[in-house]
Amino acid sequence: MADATNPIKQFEIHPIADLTIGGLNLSFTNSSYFMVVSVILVSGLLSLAMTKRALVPGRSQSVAEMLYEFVAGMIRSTAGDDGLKFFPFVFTLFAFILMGNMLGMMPYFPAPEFHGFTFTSHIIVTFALAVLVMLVVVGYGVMKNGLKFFSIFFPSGVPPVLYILVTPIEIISFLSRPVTLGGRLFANMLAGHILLKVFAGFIVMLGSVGALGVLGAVAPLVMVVALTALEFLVAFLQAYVFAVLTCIYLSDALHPGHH
Amino acid sequence: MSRQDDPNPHHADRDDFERRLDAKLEERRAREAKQQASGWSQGLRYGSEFLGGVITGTVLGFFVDWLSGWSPWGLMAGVILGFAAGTLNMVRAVNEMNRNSDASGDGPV
Repeated sequence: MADATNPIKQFEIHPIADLTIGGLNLSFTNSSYFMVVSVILVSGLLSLAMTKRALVPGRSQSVAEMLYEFVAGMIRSTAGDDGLKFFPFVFTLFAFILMGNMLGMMPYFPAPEFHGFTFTSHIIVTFALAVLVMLVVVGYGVMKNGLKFFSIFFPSGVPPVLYILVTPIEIISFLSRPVTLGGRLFANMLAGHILLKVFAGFIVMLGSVGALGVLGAVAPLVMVVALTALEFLVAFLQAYVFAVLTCIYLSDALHPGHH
Repeated sequence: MSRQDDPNPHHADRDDFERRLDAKLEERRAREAKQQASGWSQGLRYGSEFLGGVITGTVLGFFVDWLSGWSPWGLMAGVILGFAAGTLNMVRAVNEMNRNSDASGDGPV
């Protein structure tokens, strides 16, 4: 009973296959399981949709093409045409996060223990993705612009004396990007799923009180239905926001000094 | 073939149609640009930008203290610089959003 209405229970990590390498616990968990499922589903569905390569796309192919156009348009409008060399990176991130968010919307899933899980509701996952983005930005920026890339820490039009103060602020501002990038996705998914579970828990609690309780449980039920619709929106929107911000940061690496 | 010497006798109609279509599209794009982001999502965006700056500054200050043993000066400087960085993040986010709504045809604000 306590487990059924515990809103935090859904975020628990269970090892599926134990694995320890050099004292590190590298078990294959339900989180890893959902990541693998997400990767398989994304690549499987997209290759399945594109098997025909018809000139006039069928239903599934036009969905795949829409996804492509959507991400390509997003990169073009935020990072410019030369940002398109990062298309595979941004598209992979977007599809992976979107699929992960959507998988999390399934309350039951053919997984060990048969309960759904949202890997994007764990801050370590989203933070790792955000750090990956920043490493690509710094790595590509230094490779392309050399030391000139670090001019983003020295804004032009500032008296040199003030660099003592301005440069640390710029550096902290730059380092805070992965924190906000990962934190936003994590917080949205976590809060949404807790809210869903809390309202669903109200239904169970009220339903066990008696006839009047069952009648009263209609209100949280309506709320859960509405919240589920909202969560689908948030699941898509947060994947989109993550991808857009990735593009904006990448445009920093492509053209530094365009603040 | 340019549109001027189009042999189609209805070209005047079509031009008119396209003009009306353009006007409608323009109107719709302007409307969509305005309701692009709700107040809630905007507020959360700015809030998280600010919070991110403060947290990063604090952690960095703490880290400097831990490395060098200047406690508590690293933490104090980190928090203050973090606040400044958060404000900077927020100002940039606002600028970026304003630029987006300008680009979609709202004209200078």
